[in-house]
Order: sequence, then C-alpha cells, then structure tokens
Amino acid sequence: MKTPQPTPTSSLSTIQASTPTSTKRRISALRHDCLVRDHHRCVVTRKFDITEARKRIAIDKNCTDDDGRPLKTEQRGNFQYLEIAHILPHCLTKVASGDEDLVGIIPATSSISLTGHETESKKNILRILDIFDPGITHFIDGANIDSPSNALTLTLDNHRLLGEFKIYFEPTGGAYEYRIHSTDDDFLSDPFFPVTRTLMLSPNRTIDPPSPRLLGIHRAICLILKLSGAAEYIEHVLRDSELVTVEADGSTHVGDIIRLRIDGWISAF
Amino acid sequence: MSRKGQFQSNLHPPVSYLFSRLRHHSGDSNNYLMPSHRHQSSLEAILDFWEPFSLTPQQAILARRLLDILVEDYGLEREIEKRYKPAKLIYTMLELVLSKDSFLTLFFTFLHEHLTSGPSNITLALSYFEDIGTWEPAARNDVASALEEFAHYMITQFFLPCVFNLHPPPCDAFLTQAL
Repeated sequence: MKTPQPTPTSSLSTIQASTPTSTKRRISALRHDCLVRDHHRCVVTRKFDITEARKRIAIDKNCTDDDGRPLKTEQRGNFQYLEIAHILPHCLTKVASGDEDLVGIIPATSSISLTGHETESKKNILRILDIFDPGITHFIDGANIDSPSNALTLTLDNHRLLGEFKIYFEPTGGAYEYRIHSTDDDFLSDPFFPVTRTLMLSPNRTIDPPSPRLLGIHRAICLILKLSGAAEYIEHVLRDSELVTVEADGSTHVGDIIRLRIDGWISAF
Repeated sequence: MSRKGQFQSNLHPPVSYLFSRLRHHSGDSNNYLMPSHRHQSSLEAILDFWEPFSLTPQQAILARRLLDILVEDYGLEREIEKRYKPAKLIYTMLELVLSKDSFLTLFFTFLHEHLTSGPSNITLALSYFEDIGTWEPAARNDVASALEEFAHYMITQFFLPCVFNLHPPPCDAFLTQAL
C-alpha cells in the first residue's frame, strides 16, 4: 500500500480527510523521523527533498544539506518531492474488526465493521507473513507498523515501485549496505538499477534504521512474484478490477476480483 | 480406482482452517508440532496460531523429498492458463520463507484435505503421499490440480491483497487526481 503523506500537497489528501487523528499524528511523526534519518534524501536515488530545500533557502541562500554540503551546488534534477513508504504495507497489519485505522487508510473499506470474510482474509495475511519470518507480526504490531524501521524515504516513482514489489533490497553483507534491484526487464529495464546504497543513520542513531527483516520479507515477495510469473497475473487482475463493469468484459479474472471484494480489499463494483 | 484417485475438486479448505488444525495439534499429547515460544501482545487473541511449528527431522526430510517429487512431477517451469507457474511459486516460496516447517506443513495438509475431503494433519498427509511414486497417472493428475489450487490460494490470499492496496478504486483515483 502507498503510505499516506501528511503534507498539504499530498495527492492522497482525500485519504487524509478520513484518517483518524491518531494515525495522522503517527504518520506525520514517521515522516519527520524518516526524513531526518535519511538526511532528507531518497534512499534509492539520493535526490534531496525539494520542500525541505525551499524551506532552507527561504531562511538562508547559502544553506547546506544535512551533511554540510551547499545545496546550491546540487543539480536542479536532484531536487524532488519525497514521500515516506512503508516497507510492509500499512493496511495489511490492521486486522482487528472495527479497526478505525484500517477504515481510514483504505477508502474502499467503507464501513467500520469488517465482515467475517474480511477479518479472516486479513488474518490469513498475517499468518502467511509469520511463515516468511516467524514472529514478524509482533514486530509490526500496533503502532510499530508506523515505526521508522518499517519505512523509507523515497521519490514518488520509487515509492510506487517499492509498493508494487518491483524493486527490492538485497543485503551485501556490509553494514547497512544494500544492492537495490529492479524486477523490470526487457525495454522497461531501467539502467539505473542495480545500485548499491549504504543506508543513512540519524544523528546519534536515535531513529531506528530500516529493518533488515522487513526488507528481507519484501525482497522474498518480489522474487516469488517475479520468478513464478505471478506478478504479471496480478497486474492483469488489477487492470480488470479497475474496470467498474466487469461482467461483460470477458475477463478470466472475475473470480479473483470477486474474491477480493468478498475479502474486503475492494468496494462494490 | 484407489482412494488416491478420488479427487474432490470442489473442496476449498480455507488456510485459516488448516492453521486452526495446526494450532489444535500443538496442544495434542501426541504432538509433533512443537511451539518454540510464546508471546503476549494485542494481536495474540487473533493470531493464536502464530507459534512456528517444528517437524521432526525425519518428517522434515520426508516432506522436502516429497515436495521435490511433486514439483518435478508437475514441472517446475510449467505455466498454466493464468500465465504463471504454480510449482515455481511453491518452490521459490519454500526457498525464501524462514519457517520452512510451517510452510511444508501447510502445503501438505492443504493438498491432503483437497484430495481426501477428510481431516488432516502433517502425519496423515505425509503418510498419504509417501508412496506417490507408485500412484497411477490419474491420481497424480489430481495431485497436480491440488498443487495448482494451493498456488492460487497463496496468490489470492496473500500476494494479490499485498499488491492490490496500491490501487485505489476508480472513484478514489479520480478524486485524488482532481485535487
């Protein structure tokens, strides 16, 4: 799931409108912590947050980045709007019936009360997550899901790629160092990938770095989807689900879309 | 036809049901699924299954050998109409999950439930598949269908919802673009 952003310019402002205050506050704190930890740069591209740059320039034309380098020496293309992305989708960990956070984050969940199917489906997610890494559901329990250990600072494009499981982080063995791969191939392959990055740490290391366990689960999901061909199949299902009237489109995926509907992942057609 | 050829194609034992069975077995005096630890948390009331399960070394070896046979029999690279590879999905998942015993238990009890329509546990399931090398082709085809069912269940119950949440319904997408 794409993480809701607290800034007024966020394209997800409709979601914010229905987001409970507690979640908004958590997400806002998460954004602040991640930006500080990641030195206001995208973890993948190293581009600097343009909103922060504007703020600093307004105060001092000779402002610097978090590491003391003058911002004016950066190329214009190195400034971008940055977002905070959850490594594991935020909503997948919200399983309790009547969870207000779930309702707020997923617009499709139009009712506070989840049906039995919906709750059961979300529990299945957690059960399978625990097979990937035993005990991980406790690691992301409750407010921990909005911990900096489950989040990265990314450009909009890379936020989308991470959420679609199209990029993944492979540990190199070096401290906080990862080789970031893309699963796109053929002419969609971006020559930028793979790229090796060492994750930034916060001053005095007071903010948790991204969790290697969560990045490991994300990587495993990416590889399973890619190697089995399920990624393409899921894309087809999603494309079909975007057609409001599916009954006459000849889709072979209607059954799975109905399953998503029953399980509460999408609203009525 | 042997009982191993009687495939109940309409059965869909939910994963939760199988997890529930695993949970119940963990309290059995003849238990072969040993919870390694237990935690308290707000999720525990819901996730009362969550202790990882351990197979005995013999069960783990047998389960792995049987899975290799099933995957080889089916064809690792075999693609179905939906354009994905069920055996590759299962095999890659086993390679990448950390709780391999839990995955193997889920896999074999799922298949066993599908093929027999009766209650299952890992001991019964492994015993059922132990002589798969001698099964007649029709029975092995039934296993192939059950294997596809398992892969599809993993997609619809886990992978699809994981990715789906990126995509808001059309009306929400329209509204967010309009703002």
